[in-house]
Amino acid sequence: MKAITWTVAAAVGLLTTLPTSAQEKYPTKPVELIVPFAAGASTDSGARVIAQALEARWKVPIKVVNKPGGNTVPAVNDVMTARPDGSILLVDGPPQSSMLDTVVKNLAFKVTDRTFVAIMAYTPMNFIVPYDSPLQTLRDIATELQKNPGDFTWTSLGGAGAQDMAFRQLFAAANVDVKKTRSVALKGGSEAVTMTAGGHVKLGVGSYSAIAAPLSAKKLRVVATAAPERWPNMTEVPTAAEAGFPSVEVLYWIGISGPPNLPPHIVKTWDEALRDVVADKAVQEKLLHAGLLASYFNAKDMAARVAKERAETQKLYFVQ
Amino acid sequence: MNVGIIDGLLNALTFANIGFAMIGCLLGTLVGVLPGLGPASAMAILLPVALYLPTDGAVIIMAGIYYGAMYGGSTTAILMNIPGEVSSIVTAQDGFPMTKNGQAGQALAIAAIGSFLAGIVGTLAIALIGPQIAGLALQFGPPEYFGLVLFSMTALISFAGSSLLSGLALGVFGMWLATVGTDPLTGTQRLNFGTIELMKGFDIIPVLVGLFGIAEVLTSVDEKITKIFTGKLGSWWSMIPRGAQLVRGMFAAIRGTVIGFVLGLLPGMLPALTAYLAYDVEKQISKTPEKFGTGMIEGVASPESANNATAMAGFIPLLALGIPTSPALAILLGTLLISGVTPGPMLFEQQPLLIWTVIGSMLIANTALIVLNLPLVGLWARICLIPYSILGPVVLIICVLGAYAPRNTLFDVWVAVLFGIIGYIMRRLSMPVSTLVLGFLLGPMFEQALRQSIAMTGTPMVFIERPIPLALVIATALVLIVTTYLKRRSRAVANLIRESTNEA
Repeated sequence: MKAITWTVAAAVGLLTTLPTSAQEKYPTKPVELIVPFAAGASTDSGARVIAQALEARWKVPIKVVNKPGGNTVPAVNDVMTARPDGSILLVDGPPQSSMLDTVVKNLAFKVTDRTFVAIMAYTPMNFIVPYDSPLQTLRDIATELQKNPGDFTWTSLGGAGAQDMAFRQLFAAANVDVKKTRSVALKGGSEAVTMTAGGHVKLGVGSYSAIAAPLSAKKLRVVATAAPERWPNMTEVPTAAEAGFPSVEVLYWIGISGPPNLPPHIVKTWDEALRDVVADKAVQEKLLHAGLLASYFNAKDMAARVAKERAETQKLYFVQ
Repeated sequence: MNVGIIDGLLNALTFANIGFAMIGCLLGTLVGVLPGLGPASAMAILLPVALYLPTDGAVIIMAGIYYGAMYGGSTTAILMNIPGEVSSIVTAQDGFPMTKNGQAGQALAIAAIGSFLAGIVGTLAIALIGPQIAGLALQFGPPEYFGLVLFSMTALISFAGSSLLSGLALGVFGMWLATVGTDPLTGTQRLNFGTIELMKGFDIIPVLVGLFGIAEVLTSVDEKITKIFTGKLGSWWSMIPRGAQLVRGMFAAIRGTVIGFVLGLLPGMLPALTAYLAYDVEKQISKTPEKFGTGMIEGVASPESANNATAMAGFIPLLALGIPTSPALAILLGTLLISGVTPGPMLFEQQPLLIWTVIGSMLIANTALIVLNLPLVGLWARICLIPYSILGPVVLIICVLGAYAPRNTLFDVWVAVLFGIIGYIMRRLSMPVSTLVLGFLLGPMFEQALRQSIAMTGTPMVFIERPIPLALVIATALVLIVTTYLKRRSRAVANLIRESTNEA
C-alpha cells in the first residue's frame, strides 16, 4: 500500500515538475475544503466565509465538506492520501495538526508531512465561570485550585485539544497536578459552555462565539482571555498575562493545508489569495461575527507554529 | 418603539420573505424525503446560498428547510418503511401499516396536519412564554439527563416486548453498537479493531436504513409480495381524514405537541425520543392498545407532532441563550452569527423586528408546508400501487444513497447491508427492532450522563441527592415493578403487549 502511494506520489511529482500552461491556470475545477468537524462550529463558519470570498475571486465552486468524527483522523487521512492537485485541501487547526499525534497513537501518516499553506484566522480560549461564582480573577482560581484540587471541577473535552491545553497551562502555572483535579469530560465546546453557565462546574473554557450569547444573558462571566491581546468585543476582560499568568496562551487558529507534495504553484496561488482575502474588511467583519480574528501567517510561519505547539503539547501531556 | 408579533408578521409577509419560506420548505421537503439527508445535512448543503441573502431572509429560508426536512423524513417512512431521518422511525410503526391497509393518503395527511398543528402551537408558545422558560435548559445537568434517559429507556423497553429480559438485552446490544469508535468524552478508541473506518463509529442513518428499509425489501421478497397495497385507492378528497378518524388524530396530535414541546426545551433532547414517548403515551391511554402497530392514526399523528414540537421548542434556548439543542439548530446558530446576529435575551430588545419577523415567518413556513404537501398526498400515496418488482429495486437504490450520503463513505453502505440482514433475521424471530434502535440512540447520552455525573461528584449518590434525578429514579423503579407485576398476573395483558409490538 505504502509502495503504491509512493509510486503515485512520485509520478504526480514528476508530472508537476513539467511546467504547462494548464497548471498556471489553477484553479479551473471545483475545490473541496474538508472540515473535520460538524457544520456550524467555528472552524466550519470560518471556512465558509473564506470559501465564499475565494469563489468570488476565482469563479470556481469552493465546496466546504464536513467529515466529522474519529478525532479528525478519518478526515485528515482522506486529505493525506488525496492526489496533490489542489482539488482537495484540509481546513487545518490545532486538533488536526499539532495535537493529533499526542491524542491518537499509531497514525497512518506523519502529522508534519502535510503541505502547510497558510493560517487565516484565530480565536483565543477564554476562561469562564458561572455568573454567581465567587471566583473573580485567575488568581482566585489558582488559590482555589491549590487549596482544594479534589473539588475543582472543570470542563475537559478529552485528550489534547485547545480547551484542555488552556486548563493544563493554567494548572501548570499554579503548580497543581492535573490528576488531582476533577475533570468532567464533555463532548464539545458548546456543551462545556452550557455546563458552566448552568453552574454544574467551577471553571470552563470557551471560544468567543460559544460564550457570546450566555455572556449577554448574564449566565456566565469571563475571567481572562488566553491571548496576547484583549478580544475586540470584550475589552474589559484582561488577558491571562495581564492577570499574572504569562505562560497561559492558547490560540485556536484555522488555516489551510494540503496533501504531501502539493505543487508550489498551487501553494502560491492559495497563499496570495488568502493573504488578500484576509485583508478584506468585509471578510474580516464576517470572520469576527463567527468569533474569529482575521490573521495571516504564511506557510513557513504556520509550520513553525505547529512545531512549537506540538512540542508544548507533548511536554504538558507526557512530562508531568 | 413597541414592536410585536403583528409587525413581525407583516414584515414576514413581504413578497420576498414568503418566497424564502416557500423555497425553504420545498427544498427541505425534497431533501428530507431522501433518507440520510436529514435537516442538519439539508441546512449544511444550502448554508452557502443562505449566506448571500439578507439576515431575515437567511434565517427564514433556513427555518423553512428545517421544517421541510423534518416533515419530508416521514414521507418515505410512511410509504416504504424507510425512516428518512431518525425521528421518523416511530412514524413508520403505524404509518407503514396504514399504507399496507390502503390508507397511505390518510397517514400522510395526518402527518402534515399534526406537524402543522405542532408548528403553530409551538410558534405561539415561543412568542408568548419563550424567554421566561429558556432557563430550564441550564437547570439540566448530567445527573438530570441520566435520570431522564434511565426512565425513558426502562419505560419504553418494558412496554415494548413480551419479555423484559430480552427487551433489555436488545437495548444493551444497541448501546454496545453505539460505543464503537471514538469515545466522545476522552477521545479514546474503542472496538475499532485497528480500522480507520470504525474510528468514526456506526452512524445512525445507515443502521436505520438497513434495519428498516433493506430488511423490509428482504421480507417482502421472502413473502412474495406483488404490491404494498393490492386494493384500489380512492380520490384525493377521500384520502383526507375526516369524522371520528380526524378527531382521534387531532387529539393525539395535541398530546404529542405538548410532550414534544416541553421535552424539546432541553438541550440534547432527541426528536426521536420525544416521538417514542408520545407514541407510548398514546398506546397506554388507548382503549385498544393491541391495535398499535397495525395502522392506528394516533400512532402517526402523535409522534409526528411530537418531533415537530421538539424542533420548535429548540428555538427557545437557541434565541434566548444561544444554546443549540440539535445539530440542525447549531447550523442555524452559525447562520445567525455569520449574519452578525448574536442570540441572547438582548436580541428581543436590540433587534425586535428581526426576532418577530423570524417568529412570524415560522407561522408562514408552517402554513407553506401544509399548502405544499396536502395536494401532493394523492400523488405520493400511489407509490404503494407500483408493482414490487419495480418498487423493490428503487427502494434499495434509495437505501444505498441514503446510507452513503451523511458521511460520504462507502463503508456506511456495507453497514446498511449488514444491518439489513440483521433486521431481516430479527423480524423472522419476532424480535422488536425498535428496542435495538432505542438502545443505539440513547446509549451515548446514557453513558455520557452517567460518567459526567460521577466525574462531577465522585459518587453515585448524586442521583438520589438531587430532586429531579431522584424523582426519575423512583419513577423508573415503579415502571419496572408495575409492568413486571402486570405481565405475571395477567396472561391476557402479556398477550396484548406481545401482539402489539412485533409489527414494527
